[in-house]
Amino acid sequence: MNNTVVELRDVSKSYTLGDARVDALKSVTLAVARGEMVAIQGPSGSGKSTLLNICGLIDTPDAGTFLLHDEVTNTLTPRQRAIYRRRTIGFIFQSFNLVPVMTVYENVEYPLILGGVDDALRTTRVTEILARVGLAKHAHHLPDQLSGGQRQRVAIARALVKKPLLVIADEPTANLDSTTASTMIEMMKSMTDVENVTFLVATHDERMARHCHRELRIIDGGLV
Amino acid sequence: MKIYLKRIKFAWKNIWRNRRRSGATMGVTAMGVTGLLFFGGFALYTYESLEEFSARQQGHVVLSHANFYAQNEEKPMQHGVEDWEKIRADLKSNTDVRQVLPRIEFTGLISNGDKSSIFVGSGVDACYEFTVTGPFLEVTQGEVLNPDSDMPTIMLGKGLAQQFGTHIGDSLTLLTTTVDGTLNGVDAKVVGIFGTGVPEMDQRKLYVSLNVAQNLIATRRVSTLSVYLKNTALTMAYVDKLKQRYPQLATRSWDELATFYHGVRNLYDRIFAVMGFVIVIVVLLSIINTIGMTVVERTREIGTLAALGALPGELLFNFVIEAAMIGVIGSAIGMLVAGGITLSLFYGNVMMPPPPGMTQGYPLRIAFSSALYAKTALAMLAITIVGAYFAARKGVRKPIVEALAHV
Repeated sequence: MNNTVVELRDVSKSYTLGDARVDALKSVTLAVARGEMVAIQGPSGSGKSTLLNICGLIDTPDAGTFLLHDEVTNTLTPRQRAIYRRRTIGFIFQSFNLVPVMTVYENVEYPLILGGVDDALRTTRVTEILARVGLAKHAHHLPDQLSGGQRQRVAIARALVKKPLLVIADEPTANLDSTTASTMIEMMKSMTDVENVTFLVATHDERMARHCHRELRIIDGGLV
Repeated sequence: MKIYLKRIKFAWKNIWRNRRRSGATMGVTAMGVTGLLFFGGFALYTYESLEEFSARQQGHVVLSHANFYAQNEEKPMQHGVEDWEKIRADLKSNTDVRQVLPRIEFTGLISNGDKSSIFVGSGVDACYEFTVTGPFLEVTQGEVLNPDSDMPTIMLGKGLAQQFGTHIGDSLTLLTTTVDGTLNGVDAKVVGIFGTGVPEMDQRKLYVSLNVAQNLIATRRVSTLSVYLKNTALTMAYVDKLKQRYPQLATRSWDELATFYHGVRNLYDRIFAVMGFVIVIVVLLSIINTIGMTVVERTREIGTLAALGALPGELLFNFVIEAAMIGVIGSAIGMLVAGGITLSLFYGNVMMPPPPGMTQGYPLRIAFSSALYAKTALAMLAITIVGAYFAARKGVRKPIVEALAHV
């Protein structure tokens, strides 16, 4: 087994919008190593999100091969993909996507519940990660009682609590002010370094991109 | 906290996200449950009353000559029971038996000298007949037959008494045919006037003591022996026992003889089935609407949880728990309301108008049946679960990318 976590070989994906066919990805080949933080930049509609969706196993390529930690994922059933996601992949969304009726603690704990982690270990992991993102005192708050930055920290904690191999972050700083965005970027960077987690970040934010190990540009579905 | 408790807590929080909608669905469920329990309880009360009426009128088990029900008699008491005293003593020795009543059914003419009319008479054991028959025979004037009376006495249906303008203490003549086919008569003093609640019966019915009827017909036989048990539930077992013990006699349970009871029961069962079906559909549509709206509103959340690794079955299960909670709360409210109505009717003494063909109304009562409550609650739970399943099954399988893009 080599050190590559994400590997795309000639991956293509297209959509049909009305009568028009849109090529979202065109023969994309890419490899991302463990612990690497890669920024994917490009204009709206360039294929960033499609690339992330395929890497996050929430979408499938039409052609080409996608390997996650050396395993070919094209042939996985929907159930296998879900199991893979709950164990290996964390997600950070642009709009945070926290569950409004769950407290901060419960939102962060949810991936561990899905993973069947026992009570004691869940408590330890959640407490630990909330302390690391500076939200220990807000554990029993609901998301709508938090600021945007705090919500995104909850989302980061939720993505990292299960110690994933890969984190997919789609515009994680887009809804944050510049100071909060900088804090988030620092936090993700430090997680990458400490936990050796691979980050794939779609972003328009130049500061975010500069903090990444590598910057990739995608235009009209192709990496340039 | 255990994972299943967390799921329940999550579902509990979710049902209060849209209080008005969840509340409305609980209200519909509660109304459905109340309706089912109200009508079901009313039907049960009617069944129990008719059951008691039938059992008290005829006895739990009726013994008769083998041809009593099968063939018409060519002569009076041709199909009567011989040696009935011996059989009665034998039956009464059983500890499950409360009483055994001999009866003679006969017809004839009743006259006051000026006017005559047809009667349908019963010769009964005056000692016990009226204590066993209980509240289903209303004595409106006078008293019941006295077993120690020196002279023949008679109780008349109030319609029959009205025809003759008879009062207590008047004397009337009963005429009938003996077992030999000759005409016989007896003068009897009126001691009581009664109402059965059925005008046609009151126009023709009369009671005399068993010995008066036997002397009039010139027989020692009786038409039937009615066995009254201490517990109605023992009836079928006792029928089987009697069939073996007296194979030469016809043995019928009250259930076989109660045609009116079965008629009412069939009618009410059908009404209840139609009503239940309508309520089930209303609750089902309500829960489908609620969960369907919820699923649409939470499409993005469904996408998020699915992206985190939740399986469609797990997401579906969450919605099913929510629906089940709505069903349980609605059912509990419905049961409380139905219980309250049952109690208030019990103490309120609300009277229903007389049914067709009857002269007396009856109290509106709702029977309390824990089995009915449990079955109704389980049915509601099942309906909400089925409704939630059909409402949510598509939504939880929506492609994650589409669900996340939902606005």
